[in-house]
Amino acid sequence: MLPAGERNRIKGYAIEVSNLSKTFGSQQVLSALHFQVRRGSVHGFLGPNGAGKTTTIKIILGLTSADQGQIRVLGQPLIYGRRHNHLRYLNYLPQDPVFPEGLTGAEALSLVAGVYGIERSKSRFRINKLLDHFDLQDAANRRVGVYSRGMQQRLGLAAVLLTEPELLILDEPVSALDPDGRKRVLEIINKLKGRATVFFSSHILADVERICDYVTIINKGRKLLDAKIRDLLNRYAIEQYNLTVKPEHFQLAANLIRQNSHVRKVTAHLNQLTVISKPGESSKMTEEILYGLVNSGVVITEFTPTRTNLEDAFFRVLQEYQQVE
Amino acid sequence: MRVLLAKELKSNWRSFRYPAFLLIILFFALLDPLMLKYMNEILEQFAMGIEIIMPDPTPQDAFLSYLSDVSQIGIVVLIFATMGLVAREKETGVTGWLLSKPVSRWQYLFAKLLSLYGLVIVGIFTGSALAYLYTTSLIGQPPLAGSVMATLNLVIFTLFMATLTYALSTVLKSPLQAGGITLLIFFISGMVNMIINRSVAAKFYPNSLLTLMKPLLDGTVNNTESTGPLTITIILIVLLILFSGTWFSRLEL
Repeated sequence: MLPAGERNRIKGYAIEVSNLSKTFGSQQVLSALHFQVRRGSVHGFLGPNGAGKTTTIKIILGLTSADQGQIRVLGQPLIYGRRHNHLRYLNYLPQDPVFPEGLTGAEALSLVAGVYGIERSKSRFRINKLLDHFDLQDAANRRVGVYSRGMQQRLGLAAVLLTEPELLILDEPVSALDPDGRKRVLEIINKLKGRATVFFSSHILADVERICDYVTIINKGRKLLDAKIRDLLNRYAIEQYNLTVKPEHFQLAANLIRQNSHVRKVTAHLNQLTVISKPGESSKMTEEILYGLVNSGVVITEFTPTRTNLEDAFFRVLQEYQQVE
Repeated sequence: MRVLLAKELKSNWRSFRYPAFLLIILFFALLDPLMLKYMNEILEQFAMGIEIIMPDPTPQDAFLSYLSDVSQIGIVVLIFATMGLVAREKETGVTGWLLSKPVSRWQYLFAKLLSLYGLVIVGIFTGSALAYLYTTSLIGQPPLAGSVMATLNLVIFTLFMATLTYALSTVLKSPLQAGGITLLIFFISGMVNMIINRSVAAKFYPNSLLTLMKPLLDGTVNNTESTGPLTITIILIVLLILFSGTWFSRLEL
């Protein structure tokens, strides 16, 4: 058996989901869902509340059955109800980490090391290192039940990293962390790129944008989009600019810009104009309006392009989907 | 398996569920022989002016009193202590968390069963040994073979009730449902036992294990009298384990 880092260099997918459907009673939770997660990538799994993210994760983990569809995890087909060897190379962090009642932080980590069959000498070293890293050394011998939510989430992350898995499935891993804790966790995930596959859901889209290579967006159990982050941002880039001029030139500038044939929309807010170009015409538009304004004697004090972020793109994807529906 | 077993013992010990059962056994093991020994003196204190004379307690009476208390109050405490064995972890999400790791569903259940059986067997046999020694030093020596057989009957019946609690805790959603239904079955089975006490059915009825404790201690029945109810109770235990395990292996978490 190859070590985790080596196994991640194997070509193919860490997770392959095809035609996955699931119904709870009369409610269709997943409908012909399909996506792939590349080995060694950091893959964001996004969707509004109730989109079916947690159900998908539970099916991938073998905790819930699917009505239809196939799943392969680390190359192995997943059959519900069977014992799967791939769980040895996978570790999961639930949205609200829970640990067996009465155990201390250190004991909870020892339990995880034990079920993964990590040698005692190795696990002791790793546990100490992780407790230090997540600032839990002082609380190591306290019961997890008295930990704050943030501490429990840090302990949960320590439990996931302890086993050096080749596939990490993280459900909202930074939701309860303070900015410093969040930053550290994101750095860790970033460092795992290429060595392990990280599949994670998050509502903090700025984090997803910062560290993910790929993203899958689902809504109402259906896949809306599956793309590289960069491609997604390019595809949904809003060609938008903010323009500030001398107050006495404001009206003239607004009129001139509105007359330009490449402009789709102009909005005014205080002394600032927000200009959106027609798709694919942004460079022509900026060239023409800047030239026109300067020639008309308008003094421009600020002209900045607005960068499209994942949040904008996410909402535009959802909007498109709702329009299609 | 060893890791899961250690987790079970730590969790249940620290949450005071297992110590509660052990303390109740210890309580009756130490209190019952003492109570019987000094019953006349105790009654004298309360019944002023009235003379109540109780017959001198026999060693069998003292030991049976301990066994009877454990078979009633001890079992009720055990039901309360173990009704959340699986249901509580399903509710909190610990089950899902553990089963997302290389732990099979049967391993998860067997660790729980082993710890529970360990508690019942060690607890009751230790309690009986204490009660036996205490009775011997205070009142006199109960018959050893009868005491062992009566204790064995109690252990098997308690294991049956423990397995029933565990099985319902595995199948049902909440600890309260599991505990409530087990208690109901416990009381109803006791009442049914009184009705069928002298019929042929009693020879195979699990509660007969408790009824036989007195004649076993007194030496008025042969040890083989317990074979029928013992066999049926063990079969029921195995069936409960298989049923709950099969159910749990298909359960969506």
